[in-house]
Amino acid sequence: METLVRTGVGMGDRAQRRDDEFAEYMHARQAGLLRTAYLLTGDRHSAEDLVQTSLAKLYLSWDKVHDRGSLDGYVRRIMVNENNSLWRRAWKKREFASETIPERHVVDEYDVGARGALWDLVQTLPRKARAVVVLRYYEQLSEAETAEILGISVGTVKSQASRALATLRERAPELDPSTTEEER
Amino acid sequence: MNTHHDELEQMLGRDLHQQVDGMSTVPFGFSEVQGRAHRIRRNRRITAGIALAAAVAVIVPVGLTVGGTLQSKDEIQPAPSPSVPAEVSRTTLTVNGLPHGHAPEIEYFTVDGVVLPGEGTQQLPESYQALVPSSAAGGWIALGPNREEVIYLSEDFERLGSSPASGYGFATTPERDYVSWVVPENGVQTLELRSTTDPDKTTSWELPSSPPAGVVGILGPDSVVYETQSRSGTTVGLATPEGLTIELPYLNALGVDPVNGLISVQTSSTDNTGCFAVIKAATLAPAWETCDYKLGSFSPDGAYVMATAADSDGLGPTMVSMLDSRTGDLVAEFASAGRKQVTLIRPAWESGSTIIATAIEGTTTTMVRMWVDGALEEVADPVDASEYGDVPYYVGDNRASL
Repeated sequence: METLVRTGVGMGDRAQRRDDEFAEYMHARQAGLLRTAYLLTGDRHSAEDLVQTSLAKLYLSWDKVHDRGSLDGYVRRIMVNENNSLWRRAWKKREFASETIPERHVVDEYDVGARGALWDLVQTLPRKARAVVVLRYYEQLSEAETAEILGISVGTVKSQASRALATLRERAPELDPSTTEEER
Repeated sequence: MNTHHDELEQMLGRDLHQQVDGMSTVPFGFSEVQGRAHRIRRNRRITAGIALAAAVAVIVPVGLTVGGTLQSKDEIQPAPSPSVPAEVSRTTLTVNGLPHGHAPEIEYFTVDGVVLPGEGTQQLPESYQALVPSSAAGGWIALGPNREEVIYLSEDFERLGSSPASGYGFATTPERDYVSWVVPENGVQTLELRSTTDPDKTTSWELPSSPPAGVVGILGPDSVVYETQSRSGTTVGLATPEGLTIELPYLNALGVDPVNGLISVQTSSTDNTGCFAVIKAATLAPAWETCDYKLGSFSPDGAYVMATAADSDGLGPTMVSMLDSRTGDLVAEFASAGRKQVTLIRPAWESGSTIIATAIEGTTTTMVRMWVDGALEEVADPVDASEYGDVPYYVGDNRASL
């Protein structure tokens, strides 16, 4: 009986330690994750939902991630895949198409006022190309790290990034440093 | 030499930072995340044998008779509730200690090119996402690296021409005698369905110029299932033999079976999970519905439909099931066990009785074949993905499911 009691206490301690450890990581990283999520989704409400879901999935997988140094990559991978996934597309459909579910009104300070012209164009890129742009040029990840997170080849990362830059250059020649005054 | 290129990259980085650098307030804490995690866990009901939800009656606003006429307000009766068969094959997924099977009978891609059944690795000029033989195109039809271009190739993989594509990729029939994609050109989107053998056999439907559209699957030589994707979500459409395009009342379409005229669709969505159905294209009536599985593509003979857990993880499925496409009965299931999670990348039907997928366990990556009788074997030499730094093999975009 004594053993059982001790075991029970031990398990409770472990669970508490696990929660504390996760909470510490979450508090340290959630603002950064929100910024990345905003760049992936383009609006604050979707970004918050994406971060919360990704952290929840990380919480469920916490014991599986033995290398704590790989947590950032792991949660980024969850987040990007979630954003590209069927579920999020379906969720967005429900969110925007249903008349019965009231939309939560969010005053988004980042959606008003002057925006960077490039940011406007980034939002028109296909979802996966946008993920490459965000990971490469905002998160400053290497091509190999980006490939690992997205589950695609390094070659595809290179070609997606190159294509995205070409698209931006084509759609906004006035922002392209290589465009001459006359061409503008 | 790359100065201008680098300047644009730097400008882009600065612009992205300007959008978010002041963003720091997160309106939820640990308890909210824990609560959502519990909801996700509760919804992970992947154990077969769970009583399936009662079949529902669906009122479809517009019914379609394939090859016939449109009928308004076609009421569809409840489908019979499927039963669970007595014998189900259950196999634990792993990449270690597997028997080595014969090479895949479908093409797959590596960093070196494409591996064709019986012909070995063929070098390719680009990192294509799909490749289909087509005498009508001169040899092959390929999907470009960004899915925004369909490329016509000679038998020796020399570029002969190209067509724009919408970024969704293309779909093919199981026999690969037809290929379909959306061509966005000059402000117009055209849904193209082309024979791969007869250049004169082409059918097209004009779609609205926006939102972007893409093909899900081919129902027959004159009918295609497609989706459009806007900020407000996905819309499923059916292009009919009469030249019409009809919106279907479903959230997503996942697979198309031209043999039996079936479509797998998502019918509802809740927090991280949802319900799915197989519907009959002729009447749009559901054959059966499930809230326990997320459905995917049909086997080439239409006998089975691929499925995974209804709330699949963002990392990719860690289990795959084969369901009877007529009833929804579970036939075979391959699932990770305990802490040894195996992630499956691009699972695809190889034949009427086998699925091929790239499987990753820890840092070990290989390709596996899953048989309908529960057998599991490796079909490529395992690679240490951490050393490789790349996804070593993947099947074509047009074949992948889930």
